[in-house]
Amino acid sequence: MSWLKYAGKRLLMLIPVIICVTFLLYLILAAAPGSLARQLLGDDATPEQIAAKEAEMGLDDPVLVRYVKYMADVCRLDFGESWVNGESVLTRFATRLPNTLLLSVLAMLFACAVGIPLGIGSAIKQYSLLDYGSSFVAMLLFSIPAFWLGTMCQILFCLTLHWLPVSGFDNWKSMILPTVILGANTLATMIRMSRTSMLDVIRQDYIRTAKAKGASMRTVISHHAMRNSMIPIVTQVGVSFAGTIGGAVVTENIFNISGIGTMLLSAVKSRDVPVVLGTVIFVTIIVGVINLVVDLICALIDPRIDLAS
Amino acid sequence: MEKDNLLEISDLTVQYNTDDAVVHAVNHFNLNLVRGEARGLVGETGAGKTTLALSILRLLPERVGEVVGGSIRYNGEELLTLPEAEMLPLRGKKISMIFQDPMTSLNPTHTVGDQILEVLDLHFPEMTKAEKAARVDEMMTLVGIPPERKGSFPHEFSGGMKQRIVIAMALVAEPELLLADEPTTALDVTIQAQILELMRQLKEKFNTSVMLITHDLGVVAQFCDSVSVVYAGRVVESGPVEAVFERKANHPYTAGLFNCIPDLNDNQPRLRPIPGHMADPRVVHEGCCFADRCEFATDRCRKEPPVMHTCGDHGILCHLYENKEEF
Amino acid sequence: MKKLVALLLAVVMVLTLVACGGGSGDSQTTNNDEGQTTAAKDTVILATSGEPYRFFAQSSQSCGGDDNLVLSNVYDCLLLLEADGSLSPALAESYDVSEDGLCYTFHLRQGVKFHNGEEMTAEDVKFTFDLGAAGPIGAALFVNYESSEIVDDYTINMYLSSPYAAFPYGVASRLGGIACKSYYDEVGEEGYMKAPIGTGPYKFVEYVSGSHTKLTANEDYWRGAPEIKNVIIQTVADTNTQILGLQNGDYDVVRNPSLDVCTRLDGVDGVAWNSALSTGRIGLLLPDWAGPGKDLNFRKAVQAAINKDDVNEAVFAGYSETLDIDMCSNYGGYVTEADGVEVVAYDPEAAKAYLADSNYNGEEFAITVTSGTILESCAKVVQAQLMEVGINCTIKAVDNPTYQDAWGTREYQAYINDNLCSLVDADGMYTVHRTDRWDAEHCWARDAEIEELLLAGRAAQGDARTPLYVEASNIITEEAYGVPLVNGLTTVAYSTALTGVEAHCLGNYNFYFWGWAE
Repeated sequence: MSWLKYAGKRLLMLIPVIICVTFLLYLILAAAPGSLARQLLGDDATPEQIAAKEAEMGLDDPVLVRYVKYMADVCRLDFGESWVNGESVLTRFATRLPNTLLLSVLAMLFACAVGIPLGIGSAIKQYSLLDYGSSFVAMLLFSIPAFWLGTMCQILFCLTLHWLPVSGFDNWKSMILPTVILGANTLATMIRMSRTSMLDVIRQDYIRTAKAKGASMRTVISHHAMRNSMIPIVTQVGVSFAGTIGGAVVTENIFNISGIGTMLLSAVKSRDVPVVLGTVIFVTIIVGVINLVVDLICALIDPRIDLAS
Repeated sequence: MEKDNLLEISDLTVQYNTDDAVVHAVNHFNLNLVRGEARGLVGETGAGKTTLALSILRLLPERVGEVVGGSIRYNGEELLTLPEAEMLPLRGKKISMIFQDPMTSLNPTHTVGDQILEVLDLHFPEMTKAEKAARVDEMMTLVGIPPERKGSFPHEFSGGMKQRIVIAMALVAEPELLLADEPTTALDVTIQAQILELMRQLKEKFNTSVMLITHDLGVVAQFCDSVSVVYAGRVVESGPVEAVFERKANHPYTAGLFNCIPDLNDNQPRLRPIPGHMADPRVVHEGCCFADRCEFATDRCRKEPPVMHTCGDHGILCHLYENKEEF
Repeated sequence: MKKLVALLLAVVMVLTLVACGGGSGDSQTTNNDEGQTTAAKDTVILATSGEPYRFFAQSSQSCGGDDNLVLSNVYDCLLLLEADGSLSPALAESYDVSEDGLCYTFHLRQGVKFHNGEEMTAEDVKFTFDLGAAGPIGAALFVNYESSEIVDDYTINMYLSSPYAAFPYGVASRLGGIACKSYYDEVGEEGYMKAPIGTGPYKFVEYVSGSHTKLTANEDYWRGAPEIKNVIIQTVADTNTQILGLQNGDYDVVRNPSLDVCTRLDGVDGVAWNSALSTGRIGLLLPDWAGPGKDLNFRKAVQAAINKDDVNEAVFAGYSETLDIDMCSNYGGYVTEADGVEVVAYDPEAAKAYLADSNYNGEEFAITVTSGTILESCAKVVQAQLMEVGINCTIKAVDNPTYQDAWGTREYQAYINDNLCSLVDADGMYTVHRTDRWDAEHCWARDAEIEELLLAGRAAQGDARTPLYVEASNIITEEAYGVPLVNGLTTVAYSTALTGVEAHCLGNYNFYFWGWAE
């Protein structure tokens, strides 16, 4: 029961966060030069036409009024329509979200499935070839920007080797490159984090106790070290996951995946305020939920954490 | 060999190969233990006592710790050359160890019941689940923790209770030899007394041999049958507690240790510490390792390392006792 | 136990996501895996970064060049704008202009069917023009249009409020795609937008926002069935991905790639590209109301300091043409030196002399451009040239909405603009020097004079226009209100499996004229 209460409390705390973020954003977008009305109507539009369009879009009210009107609508779950093509923001987001979510999940799975074992292996066999090799790979992946890596992979795997398609996201082959590119940075983080966490745990006294009890190295690692080293790793997974949802923009762009990253980017470029705000609200909620889940999992693993406090 | 030596350590030398220097932690160490004996290992911090205990169980840090020479025989079997797979059934079952800090010795993510149970799971696969659970309950009761608290986690217990759990873990398999590395140092005095009493009872019940590492001479007097005084990785004095504590004949270091203890009866204006610092374990001594702190040191002491001179069971590593018939 | 629950939750979550990820959002269904062009060779995939989404030109929502990708293929106009800017008959077999230039009579083609089977008649034409003229871009494209009169089913008179020489270009513009009146009466504007029909060579199939638009051949097209049976207009945001996709076979055509990308394709197997002069004048405009530009000598210095050939080389690798006046050579009513146009040659020494005569004292001279475009590259070349004669020139690169704002308010010292004209006519000069949009403070000093000439020019017909435009251009040159630089360039890159793919002056893509190379 306390878990539900805790979860409820956390979700409620998202509300002030959303209000702050959207308000700031609203101010920034309103202040940004460039009128959407002019953009929509084109260069040939007369000032009267532009003014009329702006009135139609409700842009002639003062900023605060517009913001309050907008938030009032949001409370009724009306996120408005895109100013650019009239499509409902909610629908648009709902169609694009699965792509980004799937991409992020795959990228995280990839990063964890490869990174965590590598990191843990590096810690167990410190100073070995595995250790140095993983560290090198991690450093490389940290340093190489996604857009470069993505384009290079496209050239190598698609143009030269013809193994994979250049873009798209509907069959398993087209999912490989975007997953790897998006997951690259997190992979590096996972390797380093897991290594540090495991090294830290291995040096603890209770590991020595376990060995003194006659447990083999394998048992020590799997039964004693793993669970303890997982705690910071799980937290990091949560942080990285939230990061990949936002960081998917570049990957989505390069591989032409119809996701919320590209949607947000084009909305900002064209000052499509409802889409920008709507997306930010949804993403804030998603990130909040992810963090909540991560905290709950941590509490599951670590009995020292007491949610009620 | 002689009598019923459970443990025979001969000429053991252990060093740590760090990046800066080689640390000579244990030097030509000798020690014997018979069944049922409780031997204290006394010395200052850094004397090499913990290293010795870890060497017995072959738990030295992997890359850094190295046994350079000597032998450790357990029930006649040489431990140093035993393959790791054969060490596993010894650890926790035949030879157990209790570590110094109970606060960190227990895995925070496992229940205490599970941690005691693990010893049984590892070493007694033929026992049924019910039997193992009963044994755990029994052990917990024995150390004074209600068995209902099996499902609690270590952080829910106080320091003294944690150490009891550690003791339960160490003794549940009824080992022949218990290595206790300063088990009461981290606890306050009243709890210390309780823990020592508990250990004494269990030792008698299971006829366990105990090697009790401590820097507290009072604990040795209370608990041990015999004592080895360790300085700079060597045994400088060894013998039955009565003989050593009689204070008629002692190694200068041991005498210095006794002098450090304030005497309620004596009207001392100041305490009398042993001058100087513990010998630097990175340095190899030409002569006696205690020479530069000893008030009786001669040139010979500085040049020629002493040998162990014995009188009965009482041995002293000092030139002063060279030709003495009895101490 | 708890561990198990957590693990199960995680697995369920992932499975749900995979399930819905496989469904909705995913688009791009045409490529039968491996991203190769469909083996059946009946579909062409065009990659574009600007997505078409308004499919009914005469709606109240306006429409743009991106939308024209679909509009020019689903609809036909009365006249077709060719790749070189000339006009040819389409739904109108011929037309006449009255002597006073106020009445255009169009003779319509008979037996042309809309996609729903209805025949196209004068009624549809009148409906299209009346509705279009009333919309947001009506005034700009159907200039001076007043009304239409149906003479009979295949003859229609269009009346203008005053003569406008470039009217036929408006007829051929994206606003002139003939829509079906009866269908509009039936489904209304929203319905028409969602499921548009026209007489064009392709039928609209579907549009998935952010993803693609599908068109399929109209077998009953009046010119004959198209060779390419299906077209997919694929939205691909990243230009790198577009080109890689073209080389890889994922896309067959890439819309308007930049010139350096095109030149890189030279020598690559299986792909080709070509370019055409666009209808846009890339020029440096020098307001006389702000900054150092207030001084005529300063402006003349700038004018003489610019080497247009260098700009052409640097930005278009020499593929385009330099401009002497604020008109493209493909404009109707184009005038040249032979007609009396004055041209200022590149003369850095003269520039320095002008600068010395002016009261320029080294202050900053900022040129505003849209960042990340070819105009920014032009600006850099110009900047270097101006700095060489001693002008402290800086570049203000801003994003598109900001730039449009700046254009709208005219609060700048100088800017480089690509003045695109939907009407391929000299009248394009009018947008720059008209006086009704901005207050007197934000117009050039002699704009009233220039405007009068341009208005007369748009009303006159044929050769009578020439002296008017010559005089207007000369005023601009004398006063150095602007320095026309280069003609814009449209490009297209395509797979050599296709023929007939050519770049169009307005960037139109007429899929009907494409075919398979065999």
